[in-house]
Amino acid sequence: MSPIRDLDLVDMVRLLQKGEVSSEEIVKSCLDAVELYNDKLNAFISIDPLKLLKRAQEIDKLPQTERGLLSGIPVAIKDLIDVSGEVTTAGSSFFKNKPSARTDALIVKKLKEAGAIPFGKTNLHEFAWGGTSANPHYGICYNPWNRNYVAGGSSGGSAISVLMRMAPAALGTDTLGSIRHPSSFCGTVGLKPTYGLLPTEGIFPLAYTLDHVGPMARTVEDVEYVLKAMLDENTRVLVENNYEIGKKVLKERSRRLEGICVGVLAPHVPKDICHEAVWNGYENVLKIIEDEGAEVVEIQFPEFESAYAAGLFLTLAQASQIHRNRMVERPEGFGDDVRVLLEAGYLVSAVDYVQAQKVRAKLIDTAKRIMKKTDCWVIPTTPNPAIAVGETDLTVALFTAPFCTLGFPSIALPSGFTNERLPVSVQIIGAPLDEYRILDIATIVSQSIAFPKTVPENL
Amino acid sequence: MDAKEFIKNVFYIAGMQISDERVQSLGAPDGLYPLLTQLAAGLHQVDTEQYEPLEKPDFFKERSEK
Repeated sequence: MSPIRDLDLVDMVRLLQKGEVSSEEIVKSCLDAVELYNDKLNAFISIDPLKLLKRAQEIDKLPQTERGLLSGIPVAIKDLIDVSGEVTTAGSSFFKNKPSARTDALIVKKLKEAGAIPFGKTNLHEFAWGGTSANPHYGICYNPWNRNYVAGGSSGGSAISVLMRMAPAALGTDTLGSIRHPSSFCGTVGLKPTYGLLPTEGIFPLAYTLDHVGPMARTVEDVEYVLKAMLDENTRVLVENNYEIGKKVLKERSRRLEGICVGVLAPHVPKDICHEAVWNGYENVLKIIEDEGAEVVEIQFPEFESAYAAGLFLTLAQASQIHRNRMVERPEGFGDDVRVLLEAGYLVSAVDYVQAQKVRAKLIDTAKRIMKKTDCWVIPTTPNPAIAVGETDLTVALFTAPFCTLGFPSIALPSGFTNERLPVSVQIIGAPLDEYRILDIATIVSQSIAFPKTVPENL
Repeated sequence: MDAKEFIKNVFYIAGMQISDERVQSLGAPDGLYPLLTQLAAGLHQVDTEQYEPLEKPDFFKERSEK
């Protein structure tokens, strides 16, 4: 019989609610996976099994009437996000010995109110400033599909934790693509919500005006469930009213996407910069969408490429300001790659910074206008599959960063494998506050993609 | 002024110590400075005359104003 941790999150919730499984059993099963895999993959920076088991036992004693949507469900937390009583290292040597957080980040507070158990602190790219999660202080986040490759960043530990059943869901953060890169490299699902939909208070910033927080899991349904549990009542109503679930996607029909118009940013996705498997996965997803009855149209987005540059410049400058004193006092405390990026931030002039802000304003206007003609857009998540350990890929954020600049929601989901069994991924992007529409479309797409439901072998 | 001298001056004005070796690496043809210069050139080609700088979007405010 397969372990409880193999169940998807929504199935765990169903069994918990029926009393057929306890939170303690789920937590124990996930802790077994941590024991089995963490030494090989470096997914967690810290985890306290006894505390987690105690919390699970407390939740098991609660009557059903006092339980929330996520009662008894473990959710791994990226170690950039404050959890009361635990140290937030941000993946950095600077914070290794700092005192524990005294309060929860707002998003953790919301998870706890829904009954979730914050389940350890996951490893990340140092200060979230990079796309590999090859962390010089807490170990390289290895890709579970092949340990010669990285898990991607910066939320690498969160992606590993959900893929390897160490937790059914996790929180990640995304400033230029940090939820979606590791989701792409590990073959998991990650949602970067609309800018501002989920609160970032209590999360160590990479760039104040671009940081997002969002759920990561193995399935689209699980990501949707965790999102719903984290929304407060007013926001939930706002988002649900924006798009009534199932209103446009015809779940009962054989062609479930009839009447949907999907935009492809064709001129902005050069085939020659994409790995063959990434391109094939992208085309396969477009075919699935067409077979389900949607109309697929090419869209022209003037100056789309500047959305990447604007996001990069804003992040470079803000991150260098945030770390200014640390760079003056102990620059050698940073890993080499992060130190170079923090130095580069000084080369962004004030003139460039203001122009980046103005470009952001213009492109949001343009994007809204174009999106009105379509229901969503589809684009590969990363041009290439996972990066080999020790290497870098400057193109990693080309297709993800623009949607942080725009603040539009984007979900990354697996679209296939390379011949070397590394996952590839596509993004579905929606209008602001249109999370439920892209989740509905992503659910239908994911049902047509054959992706293994088991953990990677040969670890 | 060449790129390396410019980089050195930027750090000097910012009150930051930086070694010649690191300046060399940032300013090298495959370093970050030439890449940023190229990206900045593209960014400044966007006509933003009609727009004010946007610190961050507020989609909730827009929704409630509708």
